[in-house]
Amino acid sequence: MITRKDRIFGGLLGASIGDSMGAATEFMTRKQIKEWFGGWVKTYVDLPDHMFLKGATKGMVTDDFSIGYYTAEAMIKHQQKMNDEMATEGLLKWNSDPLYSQCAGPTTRLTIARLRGEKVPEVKERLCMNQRVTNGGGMKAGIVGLFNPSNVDGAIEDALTLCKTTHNNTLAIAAGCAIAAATAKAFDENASYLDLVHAGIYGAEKGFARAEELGVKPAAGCSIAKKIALAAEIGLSHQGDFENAVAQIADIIGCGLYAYESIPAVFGFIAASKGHALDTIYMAVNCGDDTDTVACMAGYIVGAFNGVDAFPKAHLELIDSANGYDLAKMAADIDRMI
Amino acid sequence: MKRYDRILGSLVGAAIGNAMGAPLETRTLDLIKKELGHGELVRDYVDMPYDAINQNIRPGTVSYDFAISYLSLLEFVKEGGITKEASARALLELKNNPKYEVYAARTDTATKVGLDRIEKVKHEWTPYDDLPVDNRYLTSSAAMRSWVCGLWNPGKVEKAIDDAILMSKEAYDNVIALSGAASIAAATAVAMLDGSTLSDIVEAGITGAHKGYEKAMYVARNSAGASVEERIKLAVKIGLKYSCDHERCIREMTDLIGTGINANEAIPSVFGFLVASGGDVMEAICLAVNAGNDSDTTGVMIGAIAGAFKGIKNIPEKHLPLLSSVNDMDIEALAKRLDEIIL
Repeated sequence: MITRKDRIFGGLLGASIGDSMGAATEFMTRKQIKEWFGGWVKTYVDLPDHMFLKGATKGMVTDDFSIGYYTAEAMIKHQQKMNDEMATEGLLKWNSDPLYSQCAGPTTRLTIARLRGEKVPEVKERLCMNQRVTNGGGMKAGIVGLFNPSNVDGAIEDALTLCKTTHNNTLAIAAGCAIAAATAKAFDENASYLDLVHAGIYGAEKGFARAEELGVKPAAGCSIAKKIALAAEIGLSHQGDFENAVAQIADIIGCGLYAYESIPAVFGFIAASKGHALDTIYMAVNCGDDTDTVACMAGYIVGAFNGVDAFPKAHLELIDSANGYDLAKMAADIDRMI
Repeated sequence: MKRYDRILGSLVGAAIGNAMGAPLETRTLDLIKKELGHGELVRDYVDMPYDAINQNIRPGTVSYDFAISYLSLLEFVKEGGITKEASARALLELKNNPKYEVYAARTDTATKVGLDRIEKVKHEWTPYDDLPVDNRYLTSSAAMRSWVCGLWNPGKVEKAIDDAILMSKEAYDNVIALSGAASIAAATAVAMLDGSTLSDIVEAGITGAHKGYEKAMYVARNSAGASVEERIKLAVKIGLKYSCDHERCIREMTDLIGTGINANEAIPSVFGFLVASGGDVMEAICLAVNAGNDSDTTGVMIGAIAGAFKGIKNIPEKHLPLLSSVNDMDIEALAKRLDEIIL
């Protein structure tokens, strides 16, 4: 049996592994990844010189896992469940780290300026701001799944609170809720990888409905729930075929910045690899485009699903030392809080 | 059918789709029906909505998409062919001539970046400059005007693809954007030909996306993103599946393919809607524009292809005089001139 703490630990470690491995492949096409690294990337490699994070070393996470980490840190420090204050504190702490603040996109920058009470230029906005349907909500939502073991609905509510501080549109929130719901579901003793997909679809549907209820801004874009189902369908029909599973999911679903690409892609990779911890992460690391975010989100889910022992010990040592983390302690702290 | 009827049909179809789609831009199907269509699908020119940046735009006004296509054709006529220089002149004319301010005010970001490149404006270094790829500008900005390369090359798929890349590669230095442009150009070229069927057009679109991507790899910046070609294949299946229920078709298309600004959304959905409509110009445009999001761009592309396919007689008579007068463009004269000049 996998203990609750080991699932939390696994989620933290899985997300860190995905983010740091994906840091080297981010932006590139699948073909470029293969050429640059001489094959698929299945370990920690040096970051190419062109990457944003200059001077980053192997095993360092990027803006993706770090925001979840800082959010968890705030919740542990205050012994407080997710609320607006925790979401804000995590965001500001994350942004005060120069390593990650350089990666913040325009939407997040604007939100942070507002939160800090800085004057921001008033721009007339359209009702639907479709360029803001991005995966920044999804990338941090896995963490609230770890605070809600087996409590899918609780994870969805917390994801809603966490995501709306920065990504206040129905689709980006629905995407965040899908990741949170699947991470929470991963704690079920009898859950299979199909249940993870099911929870993702449920989370997207319910998150979208709850966001609408709360008057969150609408946006035009693909349906998160329907695209998760399509991604899983593609994944299921390419099980055991790494190359084609990755190609088909990347070509049809997409692994880009849009929430309706990278979040569904996560579920496609889970379906294709039957929820296997490292295989799912490897697919995400090599899918091209926003690889580190996709791999980070996938890592939360499959890490909790398989527990920390699914990852060879060397991973933890590298992640802890490269980032100055003590993920074992964080996992124990979260476990105690629940 | 006379070739002139196809040329005029394509020009008018493109203008209708663009002008009808402009007020619907950014919205979802449900918001369009509720706020702009009195509960129904929009099938005519409507006023700009309350949140539009500029509300003083008369119904029937085209947007940047058709305007740049029209100006490009004028330049190509003057030049006697499609060249990089003539294409750049059209972009600059639209930007700098105050007569076109209403269109220039709605220039998209990718085009602004492209204009800077053409005008050799130095921009400050950003970390993106170091990357071997650019995933920010894989938009439909090249495809929204590339249909003119199809008009210029009736039945000549390869030439239409090459011209689409030639016309756009300076401003839109992105393989996915150019794959989309080649797809629309190839489909329009085939639609211009007597005897072409809807499946010929779709197959040309797939070929165009495939070859356009391969050819662009030699001349343009790389880009990671979903495949225009693969998504066209899925969009066509969706269009076929829901060809008897057009509202459902719009919903499934927007839910799974999307109609956003990226070339790998708007272009595939155009082919899906073409299949669902059977190629009828007004029905095809109705499907594309009510799908919302980048509706003026899907509108211009689908109108151009369907208009070439079915010809001007498939389009209600009111549109040509209305669009010509609202936009102060002599569309008929351009069609006549094109018919004389095109080989």
